[in-house]
Amino acid sequence: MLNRSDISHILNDLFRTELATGQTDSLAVFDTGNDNIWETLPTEIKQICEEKAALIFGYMMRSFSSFERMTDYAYASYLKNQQISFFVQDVSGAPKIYTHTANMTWEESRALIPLFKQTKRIVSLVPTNYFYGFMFSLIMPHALQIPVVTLPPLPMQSWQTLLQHGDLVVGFPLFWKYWLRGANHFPAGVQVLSSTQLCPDETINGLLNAGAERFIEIYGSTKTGCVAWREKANTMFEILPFWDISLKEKEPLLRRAHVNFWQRLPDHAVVKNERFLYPTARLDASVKIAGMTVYPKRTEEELASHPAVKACRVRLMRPDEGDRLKAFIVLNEGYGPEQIGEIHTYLSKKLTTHEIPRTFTFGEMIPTSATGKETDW
Amino acid sequence: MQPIIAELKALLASGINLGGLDIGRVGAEDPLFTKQGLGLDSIDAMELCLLLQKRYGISLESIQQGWDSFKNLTTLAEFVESNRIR
Repeated sequence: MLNRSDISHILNDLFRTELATGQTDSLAVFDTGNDNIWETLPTEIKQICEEKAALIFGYMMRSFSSFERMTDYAYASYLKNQQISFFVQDVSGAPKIYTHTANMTWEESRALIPLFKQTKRIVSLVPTNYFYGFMFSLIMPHALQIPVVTLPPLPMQSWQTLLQHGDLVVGFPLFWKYWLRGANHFPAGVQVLSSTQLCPDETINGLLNAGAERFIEIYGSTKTGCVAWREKANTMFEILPFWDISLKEKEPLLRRAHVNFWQRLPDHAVVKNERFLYPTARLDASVKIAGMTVYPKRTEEELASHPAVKACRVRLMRPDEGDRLKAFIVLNEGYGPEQIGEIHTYLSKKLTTHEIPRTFTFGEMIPTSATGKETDW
Repeated sequence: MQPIIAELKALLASGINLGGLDIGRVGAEDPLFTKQGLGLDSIDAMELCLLLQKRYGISLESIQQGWDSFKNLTTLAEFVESNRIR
């Protein structure tokens, strides 16, 4: 069960995320020690936060005269509803809501406790207004009865020296990649956790070579919650014991053992012996950028609506190119590549920071192979 | 301060994918991390930390230090000049 302080934590993380994703202040996401953000929010961001807080805690949208009143109301709603909701954007940019009851999160925490018996403290780098951060920054510290420290996901000197034996560091693949590029090492007895998207094998092995005592990866989603886990590169994920799995359909279906509701995973997956799975590709056309769900199609549609753009394609960069979206643009007559600044400004008014491509390539037509099939660029 | 600002502009242009934006047009007082300025985001902040570490041997000691120094090119230049070990 969450307490009032947890609710305040979730709200502050929501504010930080909204400031950062809209590029009002991209560094806000790192300002994890500041619990006095509400007073400084611009009016338009405050309104978005009020709408999203209502969705998260399940009450009718309303405005509050102070952060204290908002926290009180959200906490009372949580105690009454015994549930909390998380959302991701769908392809149109609208929020898709997934509700997790207190019973569901209790069930998950019970299944996860045996994996983290050695943990004496959680060091979390992920925001609590997303499911992964919620589970490992709030629920698991309660379940394990251990303290939690929240730190910004920046490769800084201070938190490297702050790590100690028995810590579980809760991060995500992109952060771990940067951690390794900074030639960092872990003190003895530190465990590392990753989720939000598949952690590349070279990152897993790199973390272990950098002194991590143990690597654990959780497979799941905002929709399903925690589904499975693994602790080595190049292995399948073991499905957590409270899930039943059905292989009668083309794609595997999952249900919680005591709930008569089958649901699909967010990914195509191969399943072995009904207890192990490996995700192979997303069912929808979304990609992950810094752990955030992004739809290249949405960016493509917004880009195509710019008057200078005749045709365009948007896709995720290859691993050797970077961690962002890239765009190919065919311009209308009378426009040139110098239009890029204006196009960028146009997109920044319509899209969040990770939805905006970082590489723009211009050409006379969308690249195709000799057989007419569209190719990469 | 001008030479170090020019040096930092070159560092950002070579080390961070700016999406075709012309860093030459970014003023010393323009914000780095808002859409009114250069529009860098959280991934860029991680990249900038590594660039400063590699080029100048500087590691951030706290988020507050990053907060104060990543505001614009002038604050970044002051941070580099005060803390560089190479």
